[in-house]
Amino acid sequence: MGDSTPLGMAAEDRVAYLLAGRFALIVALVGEDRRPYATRGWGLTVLPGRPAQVRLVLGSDDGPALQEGQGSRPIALTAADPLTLRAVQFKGRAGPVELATADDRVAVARFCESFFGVVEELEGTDRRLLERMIPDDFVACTVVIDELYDQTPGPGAGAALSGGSP
Amino acid sequence: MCFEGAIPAVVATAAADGKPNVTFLSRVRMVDDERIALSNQFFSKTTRNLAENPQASVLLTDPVSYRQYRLALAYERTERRGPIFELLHDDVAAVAAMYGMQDVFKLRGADIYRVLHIEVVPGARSYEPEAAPVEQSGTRVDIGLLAALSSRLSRCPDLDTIVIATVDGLAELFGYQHSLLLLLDEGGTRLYTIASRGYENEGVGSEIPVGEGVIGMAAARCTPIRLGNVGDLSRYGQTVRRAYEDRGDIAPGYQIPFPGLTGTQSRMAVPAMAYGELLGVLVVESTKQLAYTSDDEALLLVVATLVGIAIESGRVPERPAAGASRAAGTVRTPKGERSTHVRYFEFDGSVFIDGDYLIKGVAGRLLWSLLRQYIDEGRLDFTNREVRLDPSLELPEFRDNFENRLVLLKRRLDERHAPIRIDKTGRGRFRLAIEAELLIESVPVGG
Repeated sequence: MGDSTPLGMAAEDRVAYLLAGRFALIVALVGEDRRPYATRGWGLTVLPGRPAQVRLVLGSDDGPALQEGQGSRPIALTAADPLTLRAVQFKGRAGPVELATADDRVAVARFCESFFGVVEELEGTDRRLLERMIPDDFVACTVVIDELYDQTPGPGAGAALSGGSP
Repeated sequence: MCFEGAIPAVVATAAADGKPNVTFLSRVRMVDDERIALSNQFFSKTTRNLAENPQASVLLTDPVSYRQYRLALAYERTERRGPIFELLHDDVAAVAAMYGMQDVFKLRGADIYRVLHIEVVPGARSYEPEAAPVEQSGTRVDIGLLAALSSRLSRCPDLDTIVIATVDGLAELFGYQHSLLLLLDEGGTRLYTIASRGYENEGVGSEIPVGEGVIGMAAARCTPIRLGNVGDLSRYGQTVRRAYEDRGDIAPGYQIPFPGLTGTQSRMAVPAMAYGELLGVLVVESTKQLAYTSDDEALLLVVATLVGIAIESGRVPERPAAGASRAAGTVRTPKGERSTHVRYFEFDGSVFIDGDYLIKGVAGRLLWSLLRQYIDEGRLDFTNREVRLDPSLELPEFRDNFENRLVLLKRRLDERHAPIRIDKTGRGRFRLAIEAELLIESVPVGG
């Protein structure tokens, strides 16, 4: 996706700040028939270089939805801080689906520790209950980010942060 | 349980060009066996996507088992009135009321979807029963216990004992360890706490305007409001409020000064009514998520009705006992040990004892009237009947709430361990107990 718009520094700072902390991750995929598919993400790693790319880990049962059709697939992912509810939505295209690597599994462990930790802290939820949501196995893909949106609840939700159009 | 809103749902849509959108949802409600409704406050992109491509995918999580469900949906219509809209409107209004956003944070519409398919999302340890304990929420309605509470209330001779029997009964019989009973004031615009149990401070006399917060909303709508995720809603409400403040839609700094539990996760407020009129609100709170179910709501409604009828029955003017039309006592002002300074402000009827705020309004004027009679005439004994005729109390002619205010004053004096007490001496009669030398001072309006 060499033709994607470079992300502005201000937006990058905001995103980097969010992703450096504890966040929840939700994902939308789209089928060939434009049928949307909602799921959870289980790991997100920002990759160096341009265009902006992230490595996204999903449950293996999401693999078929991610693999539908030919070539890269449109994808949206929203990362939200459970404490402040500040949220950013990334939109772009997902590359080929691969089995999760050792690094991907480390990212999953890091994400679960962080996400479950904050939920446990905020709500007092038993971690063993939260762990019930963890998928059996994982797949991963690289997502090239084209657009960024502010997804924080409020009247400004959906405003383009950089490189995006509402 | 997925529709309790304790764990935010996820909704995904896609534009005509196939570009997806994903966001969290504040509330999903079941419409019927085939349909659900999603609240639409800010869904600008979701709304536009639905106009182009009326399909959606929603991820719901059961807050008890943490089982996840993925629903494939077909968008049917948006409702802007009717029962489903009202249901979702109440959810949104409760959040708005918690943070003073009633004027700006409103439900735009209830989006109705037909459910095409439901799948259980697989998880590693999802549904092994031994994987983690699943706590059952809610209180099982036991008709025997309800009868016991009814019996306790029926034996209460006055409002003071009714309010205590209520909060004690909720704790002892049903396990509601944190409860509040608030009564509606004479003007019907504010609620004041008459009794509480399970809080660091009893908070007798603390007030909340009708329409504000969950409690005020329950009063304004005369309908129960049950929240099982107060923590989530608080964060959501604060975030939305901040966004409105940033845009200048509302002024910053709003706070509702009201006592409550630290770390409240569940709160239920139920109107107490009798003969078609609102008398007050009964509230229970818990630090546990989803502590209350529809069974608790039904139970509390029955309790609130019993309490409402008991209170309303107490309003019947008592028959004067023979020779008790004007009771009088002899003044014996204790002197020497200590003195207490009582300051009364005519402007709003507020009373301060040794510099600490005690009470205001009707209850404050009532105390001042009693103390003046004590100082001027040496009276200690009074009847409700004669005192309520005192024009300085400024009681309304209809539904004067005199007994409520007298009990509020009594409980407030007790709570503050004041050297002035009100002791009941019989039906419709009471005595002032003064344990200090009193120095009383009235501050006139503008003084």
